[in-house]
Amino acid sequence: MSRRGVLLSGLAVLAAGGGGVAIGALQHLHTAELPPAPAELVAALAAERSLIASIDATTGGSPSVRAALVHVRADHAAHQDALRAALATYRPAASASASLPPAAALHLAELRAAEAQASTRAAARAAAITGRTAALLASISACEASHAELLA
Amino acid sequence: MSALDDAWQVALGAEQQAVFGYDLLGPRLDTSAESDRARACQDQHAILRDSTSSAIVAAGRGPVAPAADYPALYPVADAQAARRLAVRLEEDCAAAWRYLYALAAVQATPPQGLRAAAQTALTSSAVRATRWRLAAQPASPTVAFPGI
Repeated sequence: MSRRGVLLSGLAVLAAGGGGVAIGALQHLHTAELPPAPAELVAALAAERSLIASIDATTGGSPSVRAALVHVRADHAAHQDALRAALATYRPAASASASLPPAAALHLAELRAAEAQASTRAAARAAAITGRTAALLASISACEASHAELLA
Repeated sequence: MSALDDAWQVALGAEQQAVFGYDLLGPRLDTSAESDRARACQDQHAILRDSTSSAIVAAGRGPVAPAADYPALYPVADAQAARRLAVRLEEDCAAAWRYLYALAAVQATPPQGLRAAAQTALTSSAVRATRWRLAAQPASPTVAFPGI
């Protein structure tokens, strides 16, 4: 088939109401060309989602603790948004959008330990990669250390 | 001199400013607990200033000298202004170390240990800033992206 014929066939598909299918195919071709997401970024996003789920499952506590948790959760939501934006430049990873198992409510000391552990892991992930996203993970690590301080 | 070298010197300069700044704000604090904390913070910055200077020398560069004065840090009128200045000093250090980290992270062969040192310094300043924010501005004790 000539190039003109291919173009006409494509237009015919669109005109026949197959636009969604065609656009979907183009998007698939586009994402297939993207590099795979670094495992460190995917793991960092999963860690943020898990921390948010743990905070959401944690009720009770003094008003000052509740206020602190509001700040901590807002920071994790910002991390999650930034990591999703960073991952958007890579081929979608199935695990990045997988549903999480229900989170258990944590005591304050457990949340503090989880933040400290998250900070350590984020720093290790940052050290394992190069490029701009490494500095993002380094900053997230610093934030999570400050959460551990806040919950002390 | 490369951008990485410049950023390294800026990080050293931020530590020098922090050491000076805690001298400036310490006398304005009105509780012994906060005065003790200011001294501890200053000690930590002095240690980091010296280790950073040594690392720069070991890498074959000449460390920048501290300024004789830091007029931008004045005035410190009272205890609340002192707490706010402490937050600012820590945020300035965090920004300098995060920037150095970012530049080192795109280098094929950054000086050995530089990224780890920058991460530690960034995290330490973020934690100290949180302690001071709890006193100065408890409604917003943390920032999502320290150093940015």
